[in-house]
Amino acid sequence: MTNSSQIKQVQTDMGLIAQQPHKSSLVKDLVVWLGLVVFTLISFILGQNQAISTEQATAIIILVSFVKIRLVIRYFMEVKYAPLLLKLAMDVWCLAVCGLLIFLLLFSF
Amino acid sequence: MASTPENLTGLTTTSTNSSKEYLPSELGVWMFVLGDMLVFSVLFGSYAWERALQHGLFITAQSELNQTFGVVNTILLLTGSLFVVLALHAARKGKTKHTQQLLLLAISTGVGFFINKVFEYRDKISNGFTLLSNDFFMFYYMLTGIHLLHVCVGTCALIYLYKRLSAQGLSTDYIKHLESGGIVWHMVDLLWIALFPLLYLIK
Amino acid sequence: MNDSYLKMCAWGGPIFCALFLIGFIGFADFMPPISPADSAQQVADIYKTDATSIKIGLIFMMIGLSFTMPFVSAIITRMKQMQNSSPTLVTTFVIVSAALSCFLFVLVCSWAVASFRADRAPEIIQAFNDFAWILLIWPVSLIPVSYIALGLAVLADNKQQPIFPRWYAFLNFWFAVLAYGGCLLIFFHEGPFAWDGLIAFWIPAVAFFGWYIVTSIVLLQSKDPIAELN
Repeated sequence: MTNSSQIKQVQTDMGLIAQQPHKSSLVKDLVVWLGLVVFTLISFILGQNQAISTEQATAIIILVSFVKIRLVIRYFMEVKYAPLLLKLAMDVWCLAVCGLLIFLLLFSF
Repeated sequence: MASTPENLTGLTTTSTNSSKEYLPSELGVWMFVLGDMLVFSVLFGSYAWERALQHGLFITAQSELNQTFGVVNTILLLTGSLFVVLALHAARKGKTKHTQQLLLLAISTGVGFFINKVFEYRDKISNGFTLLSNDFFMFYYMLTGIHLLHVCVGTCALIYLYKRLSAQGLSTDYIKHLESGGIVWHMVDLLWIALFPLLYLIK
Repeated sequence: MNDSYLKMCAWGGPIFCALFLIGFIGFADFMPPISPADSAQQVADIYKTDATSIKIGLIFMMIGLSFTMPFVSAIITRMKQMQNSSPTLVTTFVIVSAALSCFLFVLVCSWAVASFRADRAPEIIQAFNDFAWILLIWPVSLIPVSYIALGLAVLADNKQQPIFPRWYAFLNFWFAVLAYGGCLLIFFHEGPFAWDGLIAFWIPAVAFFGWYIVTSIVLLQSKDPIAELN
C-alpha cells in the first residue's frame, strides 16, 4: 500500500481503523467487568467474615485484588494483544508487588 | 496537534507490520504508566512495612474507616473503566455519537469518585482524624490524596478527549489519543484496586 | 546557526550534577540528610565538628549551580525550534528554571550562614538548617510545571522528525509525578514524607538529577531542524 492510498482511505471512510487487528470484543469486556465487580464484593465480604483466620483473609484479599489488576491490564488495557516485552513487564510488576505485599503483611514480624 | 496526513503514516506502519501483535497508544505512554506503577509500588511497600511495624495501631485506626465509601468508589472506577473501553470500541467502529456519550459517562464516574472522596474526607476530619493523627492516617491521606490527584488528571484527559472529538471528529490520530487516555484511566483504576484492600479490607 | 555552542552547554547538566553531588555527599556529608527530628544541639554539633568540610562542600555546590544556566539555555534554544509549540510553554519553562536557580542559590547561602559562625546559639543554627532543607525539597512543588511545559512542547513538535524523541515527553511527565512526593514536607519530622524520607527526598532526588543526565543525552543527540534542511 502506498502512502497516498492509505491517507485517501482514512479520508473517505474509517476502513483503515477497522483493519487494525483488534481482537478484544465487546462481550468479553462486559464479562470481565462483571467478574471484577463480583471479585470486589467477594473481598468485601471476606474482610467482614469472622469465620476464617486473619492471615488467610489477608492473603486471599491481596491475591484476589491482583487477579483483578491483571484482568484490567490484560483486557481493558489490551495488553493481552501487545508485544511480549510489555506483557512481561506488567506480569513482573504484578508478581513482584503481590509477593512483596504478602511477604510484608504476613511474614515480616 | 491537527491530524495532518504525515501524522497518520506512523500509525499505519504499526498496524501493517503487526498482524499478531498490536501496541495500543505509544511507547512513551507505556513508559509513563509503568513508571507511575513503580512509584505506587514503593508507596504500597512502605505502607505495608510501616503496618508490619505498628500492626496494632494500624488495625485500630483502620476500623475507623467506612468500608462502604471504599466499595462504592471501587465500583465507580471499574464502571468508568468499562465506559472508556466501550467508548474505544465505538470509536473504532466509527460511531462518533456513541463515543461521546460513553466518554461523558466515564467523566461522570470520575467526578462521582471525587465527590465521594470529599465526603469521606469530611467525615473523617469531623471525627477528628487528620493527617497528623497517627501513621495509619498519614498513609491513608497521602495514598488516597496522591491517587485522587491521578483521578483528577485522568478525568481532565477524558474531558480533553471529549472536547477534541466534538471539535475535530474521529480520525486514526484521535483513536491513538483515545487509547492513551484510556490506558492512563485504567491505570488509575488498577492502582485503586490495590489501594482499596490495603487501606480498608486487610486485617 | 552554530550547534557546537549548544552541545557545549548541554554538558552543563552533568557538570552541575557532578559538582553538586561531590559537594553534597563527598564534602558536606549531607547524605543521608540531617534528620528533621534532630534537636538543636545535635544539629549545631554537626556544623561545629564538620565546619571545614561543609564549607568546602558548599563552595562546590555553588560553583556547580552556575552550570545549570547554560544548560537550561540549550534546552530553551531547542524548545524554540519545535514546531506547533507555543511561546507560552517556552516562557513557563524559562521562568521556572530561573526561579529554581535562585532557590538553589539561597539554599546554599542558608547552609553557609549556618556554618559561618558555628559557635553561636544552637537554635539559630537549627533555624538556618531547617530553612535550607525546606528550600531544598519544597521547590518540588514548582519544578513539575517546567517538566510538563517541556513535555507538552515535545509532544506538539513535528511527529516525523521530532527534535526530542516523544518518549522524552512522557519521561518528563513521570519526573513531574516523582517530584511532587515532597510537597507536604512541612507536616512531618519523620517518616517517608519528611525531608529525609523515601518519598520526599530519595525519589525526587533521583528524578531531579536523573532529569539533568537524560536531558543532556537527548540534547547532545538533537539536531537543529533548519540546519537539517539546508
